[in-house]
Amino acid sequence: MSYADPHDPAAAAENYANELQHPPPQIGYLATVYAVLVGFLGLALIVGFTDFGEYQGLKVLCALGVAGTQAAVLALYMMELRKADRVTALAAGAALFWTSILFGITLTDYFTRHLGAI
Amino acid sequence: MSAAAHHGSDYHYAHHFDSLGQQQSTVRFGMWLFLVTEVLFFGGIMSAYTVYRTMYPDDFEAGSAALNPLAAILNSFLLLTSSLTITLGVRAAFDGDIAGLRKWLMATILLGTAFLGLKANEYYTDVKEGLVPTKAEDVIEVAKSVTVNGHDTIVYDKVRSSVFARKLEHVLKENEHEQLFEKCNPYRVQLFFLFYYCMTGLHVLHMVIGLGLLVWQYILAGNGFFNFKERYVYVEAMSLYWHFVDMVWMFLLPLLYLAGPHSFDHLSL
Repeated sequence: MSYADPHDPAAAAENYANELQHPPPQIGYLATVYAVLVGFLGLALIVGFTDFGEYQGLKVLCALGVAGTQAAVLALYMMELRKADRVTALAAGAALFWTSILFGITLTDYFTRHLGAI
Repeated sequence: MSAAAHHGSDYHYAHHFDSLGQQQSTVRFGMWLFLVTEVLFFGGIMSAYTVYRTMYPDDFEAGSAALNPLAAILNSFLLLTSSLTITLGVRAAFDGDIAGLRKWLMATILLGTAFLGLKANEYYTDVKEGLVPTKAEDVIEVAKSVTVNGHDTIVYDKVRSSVFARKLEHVLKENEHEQLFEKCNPYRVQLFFLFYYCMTGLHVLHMVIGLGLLVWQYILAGNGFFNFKERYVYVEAMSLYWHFVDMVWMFLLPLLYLAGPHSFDHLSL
């Protein structure tokens, strides 16, 4: 987004018109997103109450997969990340990037300790 | 907003912005930047949880099986619904519908308060059942069969016993998961409960702060602050925070409440 002469009323009005291009979503749209989120909650409960037997690791992955997808729907459609400007999208991407480093380095340490000292 | 506000068309913006659009984008970006720090804040404790759950899967499963997930399931539904109501509030503020804004803010406040009420009841039940990490030990008598002068008899040995272990055993028996108690080390199950109280406690803290901000915006709406339509963006920034709190809960539900086996027969509040 570029900003024209701040003292020019016409440019200021145009900027406001740009702002209005992305108004908050309508009720029908929000109700649909809400229904999808409730659907994912139902899916999370199905996974949670299903006995995976020996495959508990698979259960964890499925549960986290459902939670991650649900969170993505919430971020993209209710928090309107899909309409966000570049710098906001960059901030959201940075959160994922640094969290992946946090998990990646921590788990690399703990998951490789059994390999023994080098 | 500064008193020396500029006028962009019929709308006001602070003097250090070039336009209303720039100001609105900055408000949203500021909240997103804060949420980045929040992601890392919760990411730290969740990565620690991941490490210990990987190391002690049976113990974390036993801890989760001792929890009753019904309150958490109802709370998930309440939080999802509150995410809808706060977004409807944003829409009402954008449309200049102050009565609608106050209605949706109040609905969100009530749903959030109901969440905290259920959570408080859950904590009360957990404490009552003794599912709290503790080093406390009791001396109990354990029956033992011995032979004295050629006769079998029962004697009682006094042994030290973990209070938490006995409470955990009792709860797991009630939930028909005795086999999990046989497999677990109660001292490690206490680690699960440490994570449980820390993670849900931090989430509750965020809920309380969010509710305080919602009440503040409700009062502001009554005082005419949102009569300037462009100020809807502050409700939007608030909604971003509230959605994030909802998002954290989406992960707490499977990590804490649904990590162990559960059956619908034992669901109760």
